[in-house]
Amino acid sequence: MIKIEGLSKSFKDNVVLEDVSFEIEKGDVVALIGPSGTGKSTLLRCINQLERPEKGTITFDDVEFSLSSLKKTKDRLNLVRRTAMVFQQFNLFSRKTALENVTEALIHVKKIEKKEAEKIAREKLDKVGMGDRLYHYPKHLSGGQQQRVAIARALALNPELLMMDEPTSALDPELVYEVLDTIRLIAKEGNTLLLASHEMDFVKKVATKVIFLEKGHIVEMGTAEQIFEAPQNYRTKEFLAKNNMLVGAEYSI
Amino acid sequence: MNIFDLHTVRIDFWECLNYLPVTIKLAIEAELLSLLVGLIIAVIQMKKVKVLNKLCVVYNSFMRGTPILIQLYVTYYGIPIALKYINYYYGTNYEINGIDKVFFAILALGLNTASFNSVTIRASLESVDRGQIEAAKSVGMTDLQALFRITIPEALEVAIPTLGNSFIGLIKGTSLAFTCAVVEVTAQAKIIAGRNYRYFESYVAISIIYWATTLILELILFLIKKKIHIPDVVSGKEKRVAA
Repeated sequence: MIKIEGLSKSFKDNVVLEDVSFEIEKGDVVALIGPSGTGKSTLLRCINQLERPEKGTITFDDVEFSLSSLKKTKDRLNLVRRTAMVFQQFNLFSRKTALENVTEALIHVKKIEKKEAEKIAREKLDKVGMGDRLYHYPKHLSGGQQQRVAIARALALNPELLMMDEPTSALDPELVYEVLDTIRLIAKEGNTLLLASHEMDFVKKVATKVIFLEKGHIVEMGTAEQIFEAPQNYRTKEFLAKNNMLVGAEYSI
Repeated sequence: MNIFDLHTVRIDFWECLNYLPVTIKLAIEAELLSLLVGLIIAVIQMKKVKVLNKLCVVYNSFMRGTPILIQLYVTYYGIPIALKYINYYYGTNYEINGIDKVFFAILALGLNTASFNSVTIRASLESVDRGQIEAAKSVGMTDLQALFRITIPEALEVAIPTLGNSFIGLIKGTSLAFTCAVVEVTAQAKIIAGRNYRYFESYVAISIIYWATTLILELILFLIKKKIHIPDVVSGKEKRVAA
């Protein structure tokens, strides 16, 4: 089980996250939803140590890491290497082929032998449907293909927590589905996912747990049914209605 | 006696050509030093390291604000004095004559070029998309791994043309190494001319040597640039493997 506790982050005077706590069970698909600018991305980036929060801890089973004060590089790497991240803008290494993008961390971070690393990479790229584009450079791939390579790169690290920061927001509408299908596939395989997403239909179908975040606070949290079928909070209802996710007469704008 | 003696030019050319390896070795070693120091300065300035950051600003300002010829003299006469002081205060016994003269030239030329290269290196490192660096960190690379495996290769494509130009400048800069008593192409031309008073001929001869060297270098640079550029269209190899 992964536990995030008391996460607070502000940029100067602007409080982005305030005392956010929640738990993720192994194999859970946790979706963060909420208006833009409420701290969904910041939350993921704090866990991945791309941002340093003022307060907060993360616990993997019984190993606790402070998110705010990992002074030693070793401790920070130890935390980061338990997680992996898929970015909104894909962020593939542009001078490396699809295959090299995946093997890079396997060889140089996990210290896996090159042959073995390539075997793992081929397997993961096959899984995301990119097995026939192993030697393509990112600039020769479509957005959806790049994002699938990025998913393979994250997956290959075999992370305890796989985070996705709005993985489909930068894609053309017709490319969204190939990426969502890929995410659905890896969710089914029992990977633990934490994703920020605006794709409400997808979240509703795939997420086991949904967190509605607004202005840095968790407004409501529950199973997908609870949030989408019977939201309790007024703000959750309003948000879902604006996203055309609330059917029926209980709320109208 | 001819006004312009082509025969002398030819003789001088071959004699000075023997010293081209000295010039090239000097330039390469100074270039390596300048890249190393330039990278360190660039990283210090990008990370805004306290104190050191300010020192780098002063360093760059001094290196740009004084002629390279004077810097060579300062190095050549300054280091022996510094050594004397060190020997005096620490009771050591470093022998000034034990230092190869080329060392002074490498040091002065390298440190001078470093200040110019640091700006190129910094600009090219800053041109690298932040997302890729974040991705490198997110897969668990250390800062140094991210720098050497992702950022630098990416920055190289931007930096190579400018660094190449500065290297060509350095090749020409080595002609001042005679001030440190290093005998390279220019110094040898002076020596020959001192013997037969045919200054014009010997300088014409080494002009040709420098020009040819620079032309060859430009060609090499062009080939490197072509090699590291990822083509804009899918290459044949990618297609073949994909099929």
